[in-house]
Amino acid sequence: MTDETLRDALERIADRAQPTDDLAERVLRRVARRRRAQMAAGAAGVVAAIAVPTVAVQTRPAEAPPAATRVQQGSAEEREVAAACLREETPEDRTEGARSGLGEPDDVRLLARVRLKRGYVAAVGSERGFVLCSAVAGGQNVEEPNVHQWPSTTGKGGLWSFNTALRVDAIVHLAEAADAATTSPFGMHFVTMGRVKPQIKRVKVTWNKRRSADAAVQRGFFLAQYASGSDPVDGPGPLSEDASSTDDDAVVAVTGYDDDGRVQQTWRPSGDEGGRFTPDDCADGPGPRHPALCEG
Amino acid sequence: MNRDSRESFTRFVAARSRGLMRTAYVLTGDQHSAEDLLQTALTKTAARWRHIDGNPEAYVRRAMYNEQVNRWRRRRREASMAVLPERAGDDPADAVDLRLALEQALLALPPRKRAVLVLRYFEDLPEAEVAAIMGCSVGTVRSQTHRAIARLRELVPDLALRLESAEI
Repeated sequence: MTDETLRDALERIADRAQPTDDLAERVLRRVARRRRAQMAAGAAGVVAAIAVPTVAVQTRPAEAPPAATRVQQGSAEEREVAAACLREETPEDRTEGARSGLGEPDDVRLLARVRLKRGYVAAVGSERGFVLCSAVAGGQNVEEPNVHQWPSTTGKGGLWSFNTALRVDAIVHLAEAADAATTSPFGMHFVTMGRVKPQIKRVKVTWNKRRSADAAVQRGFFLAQYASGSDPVDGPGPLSEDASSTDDDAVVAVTGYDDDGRVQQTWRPSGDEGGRFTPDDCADGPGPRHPALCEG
Repeated sequence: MNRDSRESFTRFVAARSRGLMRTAYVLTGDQHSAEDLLQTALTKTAARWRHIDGNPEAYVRRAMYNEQVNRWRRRRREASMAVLPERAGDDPADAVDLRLALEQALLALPPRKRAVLVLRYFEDLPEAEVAAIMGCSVGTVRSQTHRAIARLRELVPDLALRLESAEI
């Protein structure tokens, strides 16, 4: 398959597009409508804020869900990490950026983090989804904040309604630094992230090539990392020029231990999901490949 | 938005809407979704028009890319019901079928993989610019491209086999 073949196919698809009339006018009308709605909502908010004390006295507070089913609050420093992972610099980013895909601004938390010499890898998120993050100290996420929806969150237990003691939610590569990939090979973090039930106190991740590490376990989430790298692809055709791959890396097992060091569960990948998995793969195009991790 | 901004925005849309619409179509695969995607991206652009320096087109493209990926996530369960391209036979007339199968496979790729191919091979942008629009590293662009091509080869094995001797 050549780049010319691909280009031609994409051009043929694009040729089906019909021009649209009055596009700018329609957009400007929509912007004006939205602005009027925001102004109306702002005015309603002021009224509601004034009315709150009265309502609070008259109504009984709603019963909070069990603590084990909620993503717990974090410290101020952890909130800064969440903002860095979501690449937020201004209040506008909070409504237009990745955070909007995770729910209300205050819902987003640091879920788990592995500190490294120069920075950290982390998972941040809410009950809606999560973002995996690689950052140097004081910097922002090297990668575009990519919101993944949690797989398997049905039932009364919310995020922890899965049937086993632990489950894996992501096996991914993250670039070490934004400028580290101008040549091949380059540095990558190979990250494994997931959720654990309260009885799991320690999680050990074992990768191929006889590598293993204890995961950071925090608030019902775990995250483990090892320093990997991309290898040049020695493939045929012009599309393989400068290409690189991380396909050699794979998770072999994820083991959860209780307080007494007893094994509670060992997860092993089925098929090729040990090499890479995100919830996005649950709809990764057509075909028979539907990772077992998509299910509860 | 003041009068000057409205005029400059209208001029920008008039000049670039054809090209942007083509990109929207390749990202979505149908006219209605493409119009909706472009209109949403332009609405975000218009709301920040005064703050966008230099290259509003790049802003629109990035908005389209992000919006499309988010829409796909919301509908991902439906997307898993997509249909595999049919295998073509050995008849030379099947070349047309192969082309259609490739187009179908391109439209069946998840948006992030499709977007990287669109930006790289349809827009003909250098890797660094694709990385800037997608908000990721050049390494991630290369890795995504490699994975997208590999997926296409899986989906349309006949095309890869047929071109093997001549082009690969």
